[in-house]
Amino acid sequence: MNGLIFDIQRFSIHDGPGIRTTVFMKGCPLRCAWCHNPESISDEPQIAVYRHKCIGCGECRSVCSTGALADGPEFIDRSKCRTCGKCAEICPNEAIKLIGLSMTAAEVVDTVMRDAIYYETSGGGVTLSGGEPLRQYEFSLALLGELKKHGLYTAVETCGACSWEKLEAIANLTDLFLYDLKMIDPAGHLRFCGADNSLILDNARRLAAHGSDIIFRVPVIPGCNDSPNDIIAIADFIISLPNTPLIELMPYHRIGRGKYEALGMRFDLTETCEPENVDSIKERLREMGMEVI
Amino acid sequence: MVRGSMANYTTYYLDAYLEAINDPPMLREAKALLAKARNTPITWQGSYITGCWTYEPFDFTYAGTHCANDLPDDTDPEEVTIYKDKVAQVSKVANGSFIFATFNDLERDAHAEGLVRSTCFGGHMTFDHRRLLKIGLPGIESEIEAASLIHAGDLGKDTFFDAMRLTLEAVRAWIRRHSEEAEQLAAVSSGDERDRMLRIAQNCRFITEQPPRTFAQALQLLWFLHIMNDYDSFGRFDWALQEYYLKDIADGEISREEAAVMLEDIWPRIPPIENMTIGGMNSDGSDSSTDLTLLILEVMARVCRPSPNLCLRTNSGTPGQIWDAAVRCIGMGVANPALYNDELIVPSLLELGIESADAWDYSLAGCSQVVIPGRCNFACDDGIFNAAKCFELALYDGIDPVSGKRLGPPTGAPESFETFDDLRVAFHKQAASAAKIYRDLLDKADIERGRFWGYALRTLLTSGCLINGKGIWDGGAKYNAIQGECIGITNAADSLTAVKKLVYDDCTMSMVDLLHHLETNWEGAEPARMRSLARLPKFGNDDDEADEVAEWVSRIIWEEIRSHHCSRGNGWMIPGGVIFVVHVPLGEKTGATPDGRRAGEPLADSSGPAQGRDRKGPTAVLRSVSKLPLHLAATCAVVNLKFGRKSFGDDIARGKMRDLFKSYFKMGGMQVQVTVVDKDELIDAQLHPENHRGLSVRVGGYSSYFSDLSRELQDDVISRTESV
Repeated sequence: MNGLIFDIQRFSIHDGPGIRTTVFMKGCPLRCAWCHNPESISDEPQIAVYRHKCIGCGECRSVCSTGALADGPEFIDRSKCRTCGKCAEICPNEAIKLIGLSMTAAEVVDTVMRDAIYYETSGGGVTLSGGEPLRQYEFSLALLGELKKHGLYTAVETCGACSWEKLEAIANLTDLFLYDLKMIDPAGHLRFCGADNSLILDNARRLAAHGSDIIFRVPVIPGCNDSPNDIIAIADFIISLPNTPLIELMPYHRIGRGKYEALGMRFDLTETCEPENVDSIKERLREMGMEVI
Repeated sequence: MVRGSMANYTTYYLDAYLEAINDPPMLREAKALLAKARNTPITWQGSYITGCWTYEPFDFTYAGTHCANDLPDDTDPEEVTIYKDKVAQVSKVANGSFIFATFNDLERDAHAEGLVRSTCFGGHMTFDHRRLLKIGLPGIESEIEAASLIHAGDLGKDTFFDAMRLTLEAVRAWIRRHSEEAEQLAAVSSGDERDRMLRIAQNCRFITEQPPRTFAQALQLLWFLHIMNDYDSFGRFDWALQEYYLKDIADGEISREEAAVMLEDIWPRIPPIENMTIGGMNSDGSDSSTDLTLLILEVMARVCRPSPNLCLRTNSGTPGQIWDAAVRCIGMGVANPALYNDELIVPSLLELGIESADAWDYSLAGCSQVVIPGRCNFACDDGIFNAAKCFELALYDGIDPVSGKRLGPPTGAPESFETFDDLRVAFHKQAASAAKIYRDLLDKADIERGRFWGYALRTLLTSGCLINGKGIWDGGAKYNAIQGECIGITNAADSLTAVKKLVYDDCTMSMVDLLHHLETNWEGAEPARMRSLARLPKFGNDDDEADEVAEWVSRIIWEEIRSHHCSRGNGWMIPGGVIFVVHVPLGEKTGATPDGRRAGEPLADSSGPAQGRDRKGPTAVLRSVSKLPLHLAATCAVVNLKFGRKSFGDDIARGKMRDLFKSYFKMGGMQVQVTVVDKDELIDAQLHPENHRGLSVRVGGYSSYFSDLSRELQDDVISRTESV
């Protein structure tokens, strides 16, 4: 069984304890307006074009059999593209990239085990992220099983929008969940993330009751979920859970914006969360008795 | 490389040197040193530890004409003329460039075209301060007299020992005069100032007569010996002082804070690039660091200057708090300390043949060269071997394609190489030939130096010289070697890998086309060049194919160099990968290479990946480097890593950085040094992305390669450098 992977990032130091490797998996059930990994959303491989890296050699055009690149990579006709990846393969400067590589769990393990000595020294391990790792449930289960055979500390970053049965099975192979929590207000969640959040909140409660270690990750998006009411609602929710999990605030940054352009996708959010704002929210959460990362 | 203060330049040394020009080098230097010590006005420095010294570029190390150019702007023009004239006279015998006269045509060409070079540099040296502090100046005097008895009646030895006596007297005189100066300053001051000056006067007087007893006296003597060694390298600083420190603290003589104040008194007076080693091992192999080691790291962080060039020796016994203090210091952006792995370096010295009692006591000198402090002359920094040029010779039948000169044996036209192994054989032959030229050239330079230079103070204070009755350039030291750095190994390896992929494995380019691209500097072939640069395997990415070639290139070059010996003391030829600034000028001498490098561009700046070729992050870089046979590069194989400031932002982040370095050393790494990226580098990365491909930045919880960002976002990151 193969998984669709769009990046394996070594020396990942912000996704769980110690030195880690993060495996980014494609496909996500949510459509968050601020998503900074737009290449993770689709379940299919995609072609990304980085205009500023194009040297205009035209070699991509010469290998394209569908005519999608007839006007050059900058004007790729995505309706014609069949994502064969030949253009990405020939591009001398990686101005065109194929996002999404089909890999077996064993292949992923081979790559991540190269850094075994770093995990051992630092108490690190491997983090599955995405996208949504549970979107590729069978593969994630198999991969986590392999990682556990190697005795690695595993972390899974999830948005929680999946069946409890699947999450429970994954939880049995996972040492730490990085659980993305965007909003408590169902209407707001539907509006900004394209889905109802009752399943997400329900799974969060069950996971906490199950005894899993959880860090809730809250992206702070100006004008979307950074109002005092939103923040207090999230805090109240987390405080109500058993063992009061940790909370980590993720300041929003528009650094992902260029990727929308590369993928031919639209991006509508324009604001940037200033660090001051995040600091004041952190302060408020601490006043409420929460442990904030 | 200006050292010490150029102000108050006097010509006492110069005048005495010229007067004694017909004496043997050792004696004329000793006379000059004594004249300088007795007559030069003292520029007072220090509130607790005193001592200044004007650097005389021609007396020990550097080529003579440096100093005339380095005179202060406000020097009287007439004085400058007189001074320059004297320097020119001295330069005739003391300027290192005299060595070129001895080169044969091939050696001269090899030097000029950048295949192998001598820097005409006399080498960094350190003293065994621990031993010297124990015996003090009286102990050194006894050593001179004991050795002179052994050599009584030997031809020419009287002059040698006279020179040693004069040299010791120069040290004594200089310290004594500081004592007198302190007394005078005390007489015209009051209160605390007066007390401090009186204490300095007492300490200075004491150490001219006896071995130091207190931390202040020990530090004072060490400082005098250090500055009179032209502010070269400190050696094992904490190791030399810790006994005095621990005793004074235990006896309540000084507090920890008072010791810190003394260190901070000398810290700002340490010129750039002066090497100081801390940490390391005891004779039984256990970790030797103490509270003084920690204090030095704290002072370093507090003073927050890029000097000294602090080197921390680590091993599996290095305490966690030393590691943590070191990583905190690194994160402050002063690129200090560099980290060294005892468990790789000590065995590499044993393998050379250094006695175990000396191997564990190694220190660093200069940039990052491994030496045995006060027991060796390793002629650090003298040579540069250009592996990328060897690769060019293998492709061009021994003819340098840049100059058209024959620099290597004929090894066949490249079109005739049927397999990649044929190219390897040609490269190996070129490397072997270059290693022989390298040895001959460095050896000639070394012999010539011995004829003109004495290095009186270093001879006096280096074990072996007195007992052998020989100067340090005459094979007197206990250990002799020439350390020869190797540059461009990564470029040669990546180029070999590129040819392997393009011409032999994937067959996407013929040898003829490749040669054409190289000869035309990739003109009109930008896609092909970019593909070589960005799409072919490169060393430093944990790519086994590229790393295997790099391992092979390193091994054959380092082994070829090690197969030779130098004449001085039948010493070793010790290769290394310490690259100061020569990657730029030697890059200018090297044509376009198949790894996508254009003609004239700089070569790799360390034993790690070539600039911008690493794309898999630091764990991959260190994995790749650990596959090299580093123990053969016993001079030291340097690895540069770069991180943004945020990577050291808090205890958790610093802990991960510490574990990164520890993991490298567990894998058999040798040395690693870290630069914290600043704004200028980001701007350069924007202008020259090809040199900074592996530079990753982190903003607001997301990290990306800088070169992958759009121009607008790059500007954004630059404007917020503090959050990188």
